[in-house]
Amino acid sequence: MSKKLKLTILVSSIILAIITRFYKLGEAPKGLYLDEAGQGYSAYSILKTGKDEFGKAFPIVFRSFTDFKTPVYIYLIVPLIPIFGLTKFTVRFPSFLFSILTLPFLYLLLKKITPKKYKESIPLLTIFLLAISPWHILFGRTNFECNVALFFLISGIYFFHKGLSKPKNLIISAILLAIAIPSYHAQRLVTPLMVLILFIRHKKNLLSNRYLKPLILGGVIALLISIPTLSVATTPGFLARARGLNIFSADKHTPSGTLNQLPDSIKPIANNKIFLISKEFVSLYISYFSPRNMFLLGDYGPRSSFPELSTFFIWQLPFYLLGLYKIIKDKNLKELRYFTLAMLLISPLPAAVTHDPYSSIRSLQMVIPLLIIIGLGLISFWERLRKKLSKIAFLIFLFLSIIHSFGKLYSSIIILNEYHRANEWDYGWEEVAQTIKNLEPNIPIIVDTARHGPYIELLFFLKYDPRRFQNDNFEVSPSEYYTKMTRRDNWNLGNIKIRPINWEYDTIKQQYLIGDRLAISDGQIQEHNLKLVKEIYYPNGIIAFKIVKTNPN
Amino acid sequence: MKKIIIFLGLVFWPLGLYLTNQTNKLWVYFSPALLILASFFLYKKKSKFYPLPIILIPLVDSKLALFPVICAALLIFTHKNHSLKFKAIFIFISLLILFIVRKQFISQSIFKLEYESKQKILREINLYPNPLFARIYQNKAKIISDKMIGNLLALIDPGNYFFSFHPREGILVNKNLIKYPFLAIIPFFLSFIGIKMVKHKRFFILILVSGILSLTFIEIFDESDFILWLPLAYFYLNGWKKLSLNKNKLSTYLFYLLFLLNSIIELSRIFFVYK
Repeated sequence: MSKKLKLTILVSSIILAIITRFYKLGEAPKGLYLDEAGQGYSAYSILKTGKDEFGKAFPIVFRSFTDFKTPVYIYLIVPLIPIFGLTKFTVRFPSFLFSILTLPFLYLLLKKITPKKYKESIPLLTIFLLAISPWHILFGRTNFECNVALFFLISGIYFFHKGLSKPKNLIISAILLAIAIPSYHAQRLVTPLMVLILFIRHKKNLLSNRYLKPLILGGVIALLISIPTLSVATTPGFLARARGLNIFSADKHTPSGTLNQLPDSIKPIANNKIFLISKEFVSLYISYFSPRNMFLLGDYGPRSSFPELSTFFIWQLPFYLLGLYKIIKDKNLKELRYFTLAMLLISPLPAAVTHDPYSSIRSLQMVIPLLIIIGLGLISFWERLRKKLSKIAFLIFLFLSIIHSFGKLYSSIIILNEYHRANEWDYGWEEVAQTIKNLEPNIPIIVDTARHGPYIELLFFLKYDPRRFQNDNFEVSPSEYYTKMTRRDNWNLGNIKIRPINWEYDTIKQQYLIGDRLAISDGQIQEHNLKLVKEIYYPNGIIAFKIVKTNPN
Repeated sequence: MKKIIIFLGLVFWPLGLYLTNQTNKLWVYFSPALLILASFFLYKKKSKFYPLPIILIPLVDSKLALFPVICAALLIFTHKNHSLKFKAIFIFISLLILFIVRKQFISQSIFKLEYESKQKILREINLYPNPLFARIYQNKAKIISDKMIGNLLALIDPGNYFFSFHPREGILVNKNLIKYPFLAIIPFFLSFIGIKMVKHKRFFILILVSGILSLTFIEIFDESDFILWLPLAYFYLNGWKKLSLNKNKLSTYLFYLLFLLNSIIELSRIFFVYK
């Protein structure tokens, strides 16, 4: 393959990746999920005051609703706010940027570890497949920390392999891998295991004199980077996510498959916790290799998937099966085989210890080995084709499949997701905030909290002064930031009160009431003689919010 | 101990089927498996009449009308030593039987379109900026292809056979029968990895692939999928054979023990789950 052609394919893949992730970035999804708004406002608060909205200076993990968020993504938003403002685009931009940056590093990594026979084809094909991957695109267009973490993991592994020939690179690798760990919860498990596996594989080299000095230096720097994380590692805040979700916390959750109405004598056997939990773990783990999940069902979460789009395209299925067979059987693939299988087997672990079946967020790192496998399957298939005509037919099939895939991406991400899942993305708050700005300023506003935490959405879209918010809404002292898990249930943003509507008292004085269609029903409007100020609709025509004015007279 | 373990693994699926059905319905699910067994004995004895029991399957369960047709079609490519006349007769009789039971088959197949699915497509079409784009991604053929892909992927999903799909996946239209103890996934994996060494693999792959493909066209394949019991049981047995060749006897015995304990627990649960 000529250099020019290689470069053309590489650059085209990157351009495709940019188009698929940048098109309508910040506009589709049109809504802004409360976690996204929370991260954006935390960053805004850090920028303006050096403290988050709870008044904690530069947190190591960020307090957020009922759990804690990893810090890297939030700190990445901070410098973007002066450039782009506090917007949906800004909070999603790091995901986009790092998803694009992953491509060249993955290319370089694969170039390093692929045997000569496939040195050109596998890296280029994998990069192309990653560029059009629905799984990677989803997290490259929305505010999820997992994509940023994946970049640090892949670039760290690349510099590790580069370090095997030029040891100084081991220091860069250590820094990048150390940043990967606090970038996303799943990386607390994946990165150390990958490091361990790489170390075992190359221990002979790494323990020789040539490598020892940069290895120790890298280790020390990584430790220094990890000190803040380690200093809070045992606090309830740091462990909140892991404790709340993992299947081993049997004291919190009844193991799946527990049978009720059993005779007492049989209960200890049939409902044996070790049996039930280990079965659930194996089942969850295996589900990440299931073609049904990968090519059809995808993630069941409405924000971690797009309608009618799974994590992979269905036309890739036969190549996945063929590639899987090849990667297991073909020992000539050497380092590529080792890396792919190691990453394939490690990647689902953090997701498999949590209850959710096929969580594409926690297992995002798996997209890399799976695409390598699909790429390998494509190449193996190509190699089996002897006749020129069958090769042409295969190329036509691929071309049409790829064109169809682009249409599918547009159909799911831009058309169907906006129409069917606007409510899942907390659509409507931007318009609520705009309307609030135009209401009579001397009349108080009550925003109902019955179903969602709207305070963070309003803080975000009103760009509410963080200093004022910190002063008026004390929730936790900095010393108890990581340990106190209780929350306040009402908030004050100037003349806006965010709490449940009390129909008995709130209607006897003049004020605006804001709530969704269930909080403020037509019956209540009639009964309390309320004046409808505005209705805000989801794209599918269903009412999202109602803004009404009380009429005490 | 090994024989008990193997028996334990094989008994789950038929037992689940037995406990969840009335006797008159059982016949419909068990007899295709018995016919396949008869076909295997004929195949083993190198009788050229071995497809005969397979041809009879649609007469017992009309849902499986495509099974002999697909089997005959695959035979053309896979069993090149059979004469053309033999293949032609096999495919002709299969098609004839398919024609006879076509009405019963179509009423239970994915080709029967529901009113609501068609309406959904019509609603979705209006969301697209131009009709051509809409027609490519929202059309009636999509209803059928989606069901087909859904069935096919469910039938090749390890979760279907070892975990009744996902433990937290609700039982919807399917009964999600417990088919194998979950640790049986290891002998299965070993068997498929070393498939080249499996005796009579041609016959069992033919049955397995034809079975999976024919079930793909059924609206609800649950329970009719028992035709896969025999080929899967065969691969399961081969997996154990391969496992027993493991040089590290201690780890093998430990696995036997673990498998035995797990299977006893799972078996005890079957009686209460399907009570």
